[in-house]
Amino acid sequence: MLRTYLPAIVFVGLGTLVGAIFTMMNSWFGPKRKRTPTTFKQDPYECGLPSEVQQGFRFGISFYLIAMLFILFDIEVVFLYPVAVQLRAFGTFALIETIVFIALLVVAFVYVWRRGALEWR
Amino acid sequence: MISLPFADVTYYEPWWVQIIKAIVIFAVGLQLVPVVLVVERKLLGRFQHRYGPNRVGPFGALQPLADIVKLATKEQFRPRTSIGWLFAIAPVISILTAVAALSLVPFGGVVDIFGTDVGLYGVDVSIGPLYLFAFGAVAFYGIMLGGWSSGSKYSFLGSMRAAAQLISYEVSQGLALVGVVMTAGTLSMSGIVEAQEGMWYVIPQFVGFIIFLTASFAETNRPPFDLVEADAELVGGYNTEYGGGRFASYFFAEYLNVVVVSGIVVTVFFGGWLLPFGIDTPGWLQPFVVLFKMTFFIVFFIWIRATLPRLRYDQLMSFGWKVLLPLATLNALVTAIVVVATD
Amino acid sequence: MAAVFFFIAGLGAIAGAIGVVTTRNPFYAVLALVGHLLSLAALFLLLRAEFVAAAQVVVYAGAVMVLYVFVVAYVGGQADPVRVAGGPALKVGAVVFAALLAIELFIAVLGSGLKALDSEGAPYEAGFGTPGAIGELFLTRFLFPFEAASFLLLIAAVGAVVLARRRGGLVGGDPRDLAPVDVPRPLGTGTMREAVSGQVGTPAELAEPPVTAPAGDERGGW
Repeated sequence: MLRTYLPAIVFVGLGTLVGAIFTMMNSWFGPKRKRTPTTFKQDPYECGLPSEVQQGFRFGISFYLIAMLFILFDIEVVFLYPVAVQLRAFGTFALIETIVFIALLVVAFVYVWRRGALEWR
Repeated sequence: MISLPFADVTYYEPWWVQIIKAIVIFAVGLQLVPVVLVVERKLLGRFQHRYGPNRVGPFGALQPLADIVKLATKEQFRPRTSIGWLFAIAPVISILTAVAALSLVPFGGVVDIFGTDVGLYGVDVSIGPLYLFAFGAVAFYGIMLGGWSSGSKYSFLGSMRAAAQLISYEVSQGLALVGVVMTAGTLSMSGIVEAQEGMWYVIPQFVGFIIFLTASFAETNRPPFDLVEADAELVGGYNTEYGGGRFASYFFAEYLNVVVVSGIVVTVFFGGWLLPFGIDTPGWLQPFVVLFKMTFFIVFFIWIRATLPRLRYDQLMSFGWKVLLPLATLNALVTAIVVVATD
Repeated sequence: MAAVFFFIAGLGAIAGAIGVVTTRNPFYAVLALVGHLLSLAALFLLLRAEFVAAAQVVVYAGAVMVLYVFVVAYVGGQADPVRVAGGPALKVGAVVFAALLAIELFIAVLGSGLKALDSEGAPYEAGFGTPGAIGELFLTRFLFPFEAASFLLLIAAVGAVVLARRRGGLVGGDPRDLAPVDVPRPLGTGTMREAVSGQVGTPAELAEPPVTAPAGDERGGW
């Protein structure tokens, strides 16, 4: 198993190497300042008037709901792949099972849609 | 040491061949990124009735070199509010997942090079597209961590939007390939290519192709789905606080992802290294056929960027969930019925 | 080679698990859990369970942990570290249950795992762990769990919506729906062009001659 994935490990290693070079190259080639930078320079980006919004602000419930639905459909996709591979081999039987599987999820999808969970706000 | 009965299923080469081919494919992919960059800026210029870069080198071809020199000589800097080690690691995650995904693109079948059988691909795994989605899942953390560790509200907002966008389109992207898998009966990338002898899947799986391509635009944060960056609203999105090499690595990852997605589209829907009309492709020509086909999709990505305006965020979300997802499900169902009925 | 990877992945999994329970910042705890799950995927890969490894990353690291990240963002990011809820009873209970779980695991390992140390291990069939083999199992031995999973997902969808409604997240239809028809804007109601030029008219009426490059511009050309 490892042998089939050996190139993948090499790729990950090379990717990390390139990433590390990109990340560190300013320390090597960039100008070095002795003085500590001013507060204004160290501030995170701001535009226009200083706003009251802090970084720890809360996000809407939409994000949570979308993530929840994503889990459901992601599992669906992952389950469908192995059955899709065997579809030809098992013929009509696999087809019926796939249709039942998808139909139940379509019911879930219609319910979620009708309840307005897909409206972004 | 007990010797376990290791019997590998898929064919593989001697270890040194595997390492060399990984390095070669990586080097080619690496070289493609600056080319794509300069072609994009040049073409965008032409699309918008201006010249684009034309000062550095002939036709501005050395522009990426100038860019990287400029970015490399910036000061290493991070804002006071950022979290140092996460801020440094996040771009690395982005780039390493993009590079790892590159290994899935097959540039040819198994050919004989100096007496050794070499598969012209990084890996040919039995999980195929799932390998791509697994690294896509990790890439999510590159963007999320980058936005979160900057300690800036623009970055954080940008990364949250990015996260919601990525997950919304990943489902459709995955479902769009189910039809192909049903038709081919395998998940292996070279298996899918070989199953396309006679007819490329773009014809029977045209709907799947459109869905996959659209979702890929969103997954790579390319216009018209570049809400992640949305310069006008989010001042750059998750990479607002980044500069120099770290910014470059996010940029690099994005363009490498474009290359990878083009490669996957070519493999899955456009017959990979196969030539049309059943012409036999000699082994040495196969990588060039794949690269030639990929060029079309890379230019298509640029063309779309120059043509379509950006979507509004709620439009983006409802398009993913209410249009692409039902369409992809329908495509999978219809394909299943057709495959079984015609078998 | 495989042993090296096993120890890297195993240590990663243990370190991740320890990180989850020891870090106070919820965001770091989530990250530690992601690291733990990725290490588990590597262990599955070493066991030749390719599909399970991929599913582990796609579903757990890619989907479930995304939800965790969003929940952390929803309850307020890095600002306030998690406070330890509950009194001393909870602490004692936690230790007791952890000890019981550890004893159970030791019994399981000592009882069965050690005997297999000298053996060859389970036989390996060609195609084990590939999506094809898993699909075959889904359609034969594990047909009922496969279909039941779909039903469970349906229930989970209903649960998610009900929970979100209780939180007051979803009320009625969205008034900001897209306008069904695009009505052209009447003249003189404040387009950017009118504000800049001070003139009122349709774009065609106000059309300016196209800008052309002066002849002999030395910057021109590809």
